[in-house]
Amino acid sequence: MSSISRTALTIAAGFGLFVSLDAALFRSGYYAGRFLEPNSSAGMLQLTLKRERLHQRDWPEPLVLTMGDSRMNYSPKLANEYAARQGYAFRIGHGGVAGTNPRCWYYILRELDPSARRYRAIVFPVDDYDDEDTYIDYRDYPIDIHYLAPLLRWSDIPEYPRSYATPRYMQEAWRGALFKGAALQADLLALLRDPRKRLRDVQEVGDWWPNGSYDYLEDERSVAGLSIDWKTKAATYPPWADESFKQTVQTVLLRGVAPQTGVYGRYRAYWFGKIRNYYAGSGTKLLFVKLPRGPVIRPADWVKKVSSSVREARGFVLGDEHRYEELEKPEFFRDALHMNRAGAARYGEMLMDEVKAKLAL
Amino acid sequence: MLFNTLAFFEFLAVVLAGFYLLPLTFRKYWLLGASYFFYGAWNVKFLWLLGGVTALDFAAGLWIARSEGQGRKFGLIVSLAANLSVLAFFKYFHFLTAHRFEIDIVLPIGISFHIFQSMSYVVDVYRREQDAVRNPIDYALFLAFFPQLVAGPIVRAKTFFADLYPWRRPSAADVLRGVFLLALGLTKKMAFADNFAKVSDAFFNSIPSGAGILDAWTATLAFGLQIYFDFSGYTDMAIGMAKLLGFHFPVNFRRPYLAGSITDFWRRWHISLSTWLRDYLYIPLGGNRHHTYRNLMLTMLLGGLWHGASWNFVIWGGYHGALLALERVLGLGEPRWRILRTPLTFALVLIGWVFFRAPAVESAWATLQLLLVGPLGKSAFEPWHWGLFGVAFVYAVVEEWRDREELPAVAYALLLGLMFFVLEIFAVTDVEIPFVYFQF
Repeated sequence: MSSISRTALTIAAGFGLFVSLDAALFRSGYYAGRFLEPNSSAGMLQLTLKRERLHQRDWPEPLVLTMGDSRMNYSPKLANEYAARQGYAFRIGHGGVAGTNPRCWYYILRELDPSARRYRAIVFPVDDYDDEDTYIDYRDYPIDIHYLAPLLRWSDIPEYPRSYATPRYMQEAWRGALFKGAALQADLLALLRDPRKRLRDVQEVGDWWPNGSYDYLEDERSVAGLSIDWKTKAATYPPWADESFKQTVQTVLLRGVAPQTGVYGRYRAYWFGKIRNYYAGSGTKLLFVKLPRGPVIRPADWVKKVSSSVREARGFVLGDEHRYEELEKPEFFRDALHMNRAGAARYGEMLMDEVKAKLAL
Repeated sequence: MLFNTLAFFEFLAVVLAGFYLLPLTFRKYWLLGASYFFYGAWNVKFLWLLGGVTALDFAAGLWIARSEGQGRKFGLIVSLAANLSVLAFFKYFHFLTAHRFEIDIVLPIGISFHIFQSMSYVVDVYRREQDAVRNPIDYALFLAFFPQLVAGPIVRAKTFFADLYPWRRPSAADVLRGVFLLALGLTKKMAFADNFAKVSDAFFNSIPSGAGILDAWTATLAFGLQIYFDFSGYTDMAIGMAKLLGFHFPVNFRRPYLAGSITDFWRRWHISLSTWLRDYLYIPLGGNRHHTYRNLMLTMLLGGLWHGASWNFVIWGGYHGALLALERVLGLGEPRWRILRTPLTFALVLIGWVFFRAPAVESAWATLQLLLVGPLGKSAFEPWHWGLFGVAFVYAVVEEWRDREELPAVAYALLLGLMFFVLEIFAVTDVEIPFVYFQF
């Protein structure tokens, strides 16, 4: 062997060793399964995956899975109890995690359902069948990089980073897909700061999560008393309203109208398209359902929406667009975004009825 | 364009591709163009200054080589005066005029390094230790060569041209060593120096109220580790890149914190500067022959001032000058009883770093007081910082023991793999921390 070949081989062996170390610790799931901060976004996602795998193992009935972010806060436990009372022959699990979006859902589903045959149906909640561009560009949603790092495979390297819009995030995503340790660096350094506390938290939260999160019931507080004069954009708050609540009302309900570029529609069409392709020919049904949009509803004529990716999505069943409007009242919400206990409980029941009716399960 | 950025590595990839693909005769033009691009990427306006210094000393070298007697001396004096004037204006104007004039002077990056490098060439030609360079492109490349342009090492003309004139394709061993040094330097900078920088910055940028002895010592230790890893990391990268381009630069750091005396420390720390000061200042002042203590003190004071125009650096230089003189008086210059004297030397060096790092003399004194008296306080280190320190210490001891013996290929592969892994886990990427010596 020539000396140049030997040099190239040595450098390649060094790089190979590094890739092997990274793979053994981070790509294998060893780190994510044992050490990841359970109270972090990525940690909660891992715990959710674990819980739903237990459900797959322990529940004999046909399974339906819901996805969603923190707004999809119905109680699976109450919903399943309701379904049992109604005699529905399926149970529902929840693979949604706070802060996730269609891009995350694709990778979560791939992880939870590697054969694409474990669920009878998957439910995707959206608050609008039309696409409204906001000042948030979901293509560059930074938290996705942390959520998804443990779930990515080698084969994702060419495509996943390109789903981000700006070079900075593309670069970070590329780094996270290629070198998982780099994406989990902050978590690992926090572990090294106080390993005993971390291991204790992993144990405690890990023990609690499967049942605790399944049994969890939302806050009873309601925002009754909240109203908005849309002409003057003045809000009347409930007596207990603090600055944080008022701020949320301003940024969520009274948010400005962003230019409608169609970016959000293309984003949703792309990722829901990936999900449809993943389940193509599998027998798993895909259902869009509406989420109650909020305690008060922004006037429909504020935004002239330019696309409707959900309505146009092929391979999905479309839920009733107006079914949940009765829940769009202050007494069913605990803040500007999330349903309270009463709202979540009612939503769960209505959702089970709709799943039953739409999917004929 | 810092060495620890993606932009730099993209630039380096292009430079290396061009270097290896172009015919040998074009390579120096390619490297000179790349070097000017590298410097211009920071501030294109200062290319004229670099070009001016290049033209001046290239002409001075030719003038001196062709002259005899007073003509040689005249050429030398004109060149040195011009170089020192440039340095004095850009670096010391406000210091020398006690900040009486409100003019905004931007310090050209790396000016102290390339001015010293150029001056050493002219002096070497004057001393007939170096032939005058006949080709301006060669001289321009000597001064502007991007791996060492902004923070050294200060390369002697003899070393540089010994590689440039009989230029050969880098050997496989050079390529391997070059890649290894690049990875080592990057790891030192991003995984070690930058993490310690966060600790020392948190203390020195604003000494926390209620800080105690442990805070002060650990923050000072953090800075000591930061500056070593930062500067030696930069140097490793510079030497590694030079190897990839067919140049062999001398080592600039030899485990300085394992030194058994301050004298020994200066044989191991920033060797290219300390030997420059020895050859072009200390020995011409009289060296060990007469007024040794005065010469030591003057050399170290000026060495301190070379780092920056502030009283902190003057005190730091004076402190080291005094320690060197004291060791000479007591006959402790040679590093005997190293197991006992190495920790003591390290502690003395750390105390000196307080003046180097503190933003002002007042905060340096406040830190010194905290090092000696005050409440116990708490360590500024987290447990994993001690882990990093431990890894670095073991590596240094092993390296000291082997003293740069050539490693077998398996060891290179193993170390490369581990360094990439350490870099992945510990590299600071959330903030961009510039190299400490870029400001000099």
